[in-house]
Amino acid sequence: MSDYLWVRPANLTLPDPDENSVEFWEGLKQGKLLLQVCGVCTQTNYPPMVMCSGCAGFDFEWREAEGGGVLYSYVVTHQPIHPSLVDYTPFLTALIELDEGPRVTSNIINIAPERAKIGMRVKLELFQVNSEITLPLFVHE
Amino acid sequence: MAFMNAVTIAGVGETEYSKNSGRSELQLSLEAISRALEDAGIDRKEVDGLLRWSVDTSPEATVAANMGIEDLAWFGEISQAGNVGAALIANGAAAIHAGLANVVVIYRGVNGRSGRRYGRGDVTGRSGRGAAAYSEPFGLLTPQHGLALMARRRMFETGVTSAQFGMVAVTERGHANRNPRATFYDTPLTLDDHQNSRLIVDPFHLFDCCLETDGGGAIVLTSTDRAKARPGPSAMIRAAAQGGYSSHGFTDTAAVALAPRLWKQAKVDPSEISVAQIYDHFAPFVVFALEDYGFVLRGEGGEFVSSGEITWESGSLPVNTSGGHLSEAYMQGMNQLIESVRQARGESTSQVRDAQFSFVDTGIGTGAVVLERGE
Repeated sequence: MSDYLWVRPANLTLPDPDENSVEFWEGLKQGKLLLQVCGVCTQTNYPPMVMCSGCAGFDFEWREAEGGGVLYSYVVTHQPIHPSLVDYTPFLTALIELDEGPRVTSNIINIAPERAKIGMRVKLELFQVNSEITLPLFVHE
Repeated sequence: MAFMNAVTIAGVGETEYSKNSGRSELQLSLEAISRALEDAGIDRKEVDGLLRWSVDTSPEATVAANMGIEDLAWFGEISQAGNVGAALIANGAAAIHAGLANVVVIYRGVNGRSGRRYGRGDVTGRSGRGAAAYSEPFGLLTPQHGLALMARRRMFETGVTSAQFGMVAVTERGHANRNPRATFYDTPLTLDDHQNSRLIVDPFHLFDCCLETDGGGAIVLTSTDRAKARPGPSAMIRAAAQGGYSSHGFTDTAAVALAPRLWKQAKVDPSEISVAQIYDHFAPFVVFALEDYGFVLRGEGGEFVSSGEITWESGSLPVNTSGGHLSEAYMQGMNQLIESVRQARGESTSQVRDAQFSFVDTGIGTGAVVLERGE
């Protein structure tokens, strides 16, 4: 396998959880990628929604994702959009289609950007940024 | 149906396009408004409606005060970002059609190069709040990131190539080389230049990306009856529709939802359009718009472009005949709206002959207008 390991830019934006997403980010802190499932029609949402677009319900449950998925699309940032990114480009941003269906924007941390290929299998790997924030990242299996 | 030529774009005006205007965004708007009113032959005292992009920094009250408007009967703004120009046309025309205003001015003044820059995420990005909490922490920081993600998937699904995107840029540059107002008037571009240009956000090369520009533009809308005072051919609004959100698939632009509404309202179909201006924030989206508006079938847009069909004057549908956002200026749809008026009137530097119907999209489905030449 590859010995590549992506280094997350130190000053890249961190999520700022709000009242609609606090459970989601709390779940990650506890080691789980939680998918929001409508308690009425069972539609699965990512990111979590306020009202279910399938049935207009407000009652949701949380189900832990198995963690497997495939690379659905990706981009590689070459131009350092911000001075804080200068030492970190090029880097890969991936759209992962989870086996449960929803698509998650993330990073694949163990492959060099030029090795990304749509359809490749990936697996969840949680990445603790600090005591408050853990991000759902992925590795190529 | 809706407008059907009851409202006309009676005047257009713009400043020079540059990298450093040396004056305020408010002044750029006011200079453009003065030129547009002069073009329309309408006195500023007649203006009773103002309309703007919500990202524009010049409030309507400030513009009205500078213009000496006596009674601002109607005003508004549309949110999102730069992509709402045609939606503004639809809304301004609706206000006139409903009798809420007689003369509506739409304006945009922006120091997009010397001031806050979209390409650096100065205007959008880096909040981490709301929906951004699920994208920015992974590096989707600017508009182009999300669009590149969609473009990559659409390349995978339809087989369209970077070289075909490059032909959009090359074609538009050829049009800019005929337009003295264009930023790249003096500079040619080859497909090799495009393919060898550095990657910005792969799959987007440098020459897939729009310019960042300082400048101002303005448009005057009024009833077709009132607009008849101006001599010569006119740009009547045959149809104008708004869009911007749809629950279609990941690789569908918002044009998939808007297009059927537009063509039904216009009572023409895509094959009757002679010339098109299409929002080219990024070159690949010209290909996608050609497909999603129904000018060609999905998967055929790349070949349509690379075989010369969007090239003035030999192509069957010349696109972005002023050079567009890639090579004339990035005025967030304003310069494309102005060029569509020139085409309707017969005033373009790359004029399409007998262009009865002129099409303009300013956001790949956020809004689109069909203009008809009035004699």
